[in-house]
Amino acid sequence: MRVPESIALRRSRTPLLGPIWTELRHLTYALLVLGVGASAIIAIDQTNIAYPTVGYDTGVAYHEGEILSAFLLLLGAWLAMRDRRSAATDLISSTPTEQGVVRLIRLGALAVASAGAFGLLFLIGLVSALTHGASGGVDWMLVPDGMLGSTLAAWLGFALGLIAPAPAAVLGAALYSGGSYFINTQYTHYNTLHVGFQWLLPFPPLPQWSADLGYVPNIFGTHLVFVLGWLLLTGGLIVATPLSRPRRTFASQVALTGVVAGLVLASLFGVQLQAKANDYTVSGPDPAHWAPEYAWGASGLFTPNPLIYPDDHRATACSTSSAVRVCVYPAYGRSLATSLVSILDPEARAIESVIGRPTYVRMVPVAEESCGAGFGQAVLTEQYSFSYYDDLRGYLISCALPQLGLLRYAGYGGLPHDYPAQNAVALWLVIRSGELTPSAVRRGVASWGVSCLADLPCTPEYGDVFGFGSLDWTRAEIRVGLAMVALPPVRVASELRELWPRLVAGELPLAGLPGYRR
Amino acid sequence: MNVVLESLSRSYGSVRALDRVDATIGPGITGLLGPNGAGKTTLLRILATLLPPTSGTARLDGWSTSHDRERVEIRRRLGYLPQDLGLYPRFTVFEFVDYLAMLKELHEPRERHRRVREALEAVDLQDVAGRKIRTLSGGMRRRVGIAQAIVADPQLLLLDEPTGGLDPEQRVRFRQLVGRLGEHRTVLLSTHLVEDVAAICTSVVVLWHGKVLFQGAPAELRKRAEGLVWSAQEASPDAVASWRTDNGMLRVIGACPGPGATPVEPTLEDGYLLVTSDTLTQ
Repeated sequence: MRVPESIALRRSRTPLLGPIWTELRHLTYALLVLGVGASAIIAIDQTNIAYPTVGYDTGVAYHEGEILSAFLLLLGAWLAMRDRRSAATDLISSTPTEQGVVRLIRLGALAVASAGAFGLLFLIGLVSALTHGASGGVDWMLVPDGMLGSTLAAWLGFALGLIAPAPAAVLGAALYSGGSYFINTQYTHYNTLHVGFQWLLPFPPLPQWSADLGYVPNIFGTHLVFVLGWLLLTGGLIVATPLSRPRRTFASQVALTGVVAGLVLASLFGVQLQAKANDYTVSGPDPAHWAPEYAWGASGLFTPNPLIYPDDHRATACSTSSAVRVCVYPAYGRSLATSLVSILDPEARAIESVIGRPTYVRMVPVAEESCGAGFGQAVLTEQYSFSYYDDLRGYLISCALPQLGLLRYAGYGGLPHDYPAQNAVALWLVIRSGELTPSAVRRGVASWGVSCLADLPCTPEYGDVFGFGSLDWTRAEIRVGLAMVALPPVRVASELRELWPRLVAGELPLAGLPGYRR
Repeated sequence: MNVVLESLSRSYGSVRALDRVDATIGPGITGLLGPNGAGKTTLLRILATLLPPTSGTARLDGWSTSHDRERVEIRRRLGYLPQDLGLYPRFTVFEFVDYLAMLKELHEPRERHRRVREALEAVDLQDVAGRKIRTLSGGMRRRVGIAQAIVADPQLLLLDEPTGGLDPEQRVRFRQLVGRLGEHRTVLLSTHLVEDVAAICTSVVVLWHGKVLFQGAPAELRKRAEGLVWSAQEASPDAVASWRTDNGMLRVIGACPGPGATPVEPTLEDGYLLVTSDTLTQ
């Protein structure tokens, strides 16, 4: 009986591709499935709490390559230990194929598998984003970067498997993934050293992402070459290690070239990555007039100076009501603008009487929102969490307060205010926004006295008074403010419209307000 | 292919596995006989270029096992079946032999697959070519090892205990196979089974504690026992060895055990026992 022809394997034309294909067929696919599955689940879970955009969601999928890497590290270690575990070392070593070439073949198989696994993860992220109605484009640089990072993990595992017994390899994998995760999550944004260091990881924490500007700063061109350098260095060392003495063979030449090129690339581009930690100038519409300042310890990666980010006319996905117009970047889609209008419209109506109130809200690519005093517009930072958009109640009113000479942030140099009428109107606006309830104000007055009102804790009961620390409402101001709240809003708004010029100028006495007369 | 060993030694710490071995092995089938620990596997691993000698040289057709470049030339002409055969359990039989064939530089797929099929047919594994190696019996795995050793048509075939785990029928088939292979190449067969050597070897080397005790034709080794093998009722205390045969008589090796003993035709095993016992008595 003869061996059936059908058993013959797929043909290859070059010496390396045949064995690579055979190795590829026999990798531990359970590890790949687990790795892709775990990282995809985490990525989808994370993007489910955020407003879907293709750019951001695929970025999250990219970053979860870190989870995948732990499994790829185990995959590499398993392959490296296979000959030892199956006692096939002698059999393989007695073939004319150099040990270095055998390793090259296995690294090739790991590279194909790792790149494929990452590609699948990224594809899942993309499909998930599109399924959730995301729009916008993909930063394709993430794909080769993630593929290289995944391959590096598998190759590091291979190196680990060559030199360590199985338990150490497993421990190494755990340390690798745990360490990376710890660094990524615990030491971000604290100081320059840490930011620069975290970008030297195969899967760095994502920089600030904007649908308009992309990543700020955009590290991925540099990072890709940096990881490529490490890959060449690691691969070169793995291939070169078994050579007992320098010889001019195919494997040794490949290895030597890889080591030298890897060292050069990793060093040069690693330094560049470190330098990018302070490189936060974004290519806005007019950098001469607006440049973000780097501020460590701030809530975001950087904060703007008090200047308003100029209108770049790129927020073109708009929705309008009779009281407010909202425009966001097209990557978010018009549905977000419509959703924001539905949130902001009620309070926009409530402050219709405020002259110069924001009627136009546009999205900007910075971490802090601002209010365009005197411009009739507010700028809304790009944020991805659904909860952020749900929490915009009071946003327009807080933007309207500067019309009364009040500043939203006490830290912006707000001074005690001597205009009781303005203070009373400010209290009315704050209560109208829902940030503070009349009962909370009354309780505060009863418990601690008027002067202590500003020290109310930011609890759900009292509402977030968002930094009115510079304001000291008097009993008279509070009484008038609460009286205005008790009146029909339309009537108050109508009366305030007539009184507004005198109110802003500080010429209106407390007795001139609608509530006082009542 | 000619194998020339000159003062070849190999030590593991203070243990001398091979001790200044001199031997010349030519085409045909050479049996490497010796008890466990005699140095057979060490010698084969040196010839397979897996182990460097501590001193001395091993040359195969003039190529030294100690030189990097020449080692590759030796490996191109080598088929090796290790004693501790390691196979990849997740591979199919065909894939595994094909994989080794690729590493043995058989790159042209059509030709390689033809060779793989021939090798599997030679060891009677064609029916299980598509089965995973982990599902095979020990004997079948041994035959996979033989298939990979012969797939690249080597000039030198090193077989370390190849018949271990084979049933009698397979062993007969194996002898036939090795007999055919030895017609055109050099085969070095390490074994402690004298019957294998007797059946197929054209020459024999007896190793004992790392030293060559005998090298020559099997007939010469057998001749060493001529006049020293007896059929007797009782064993002599001076006998090298004695055991009861199926006719109820004792087969005694050594000096005449006494009256009533009749000389019998010696076998290769008798010669082997005598050669190794000489060393013991010395």
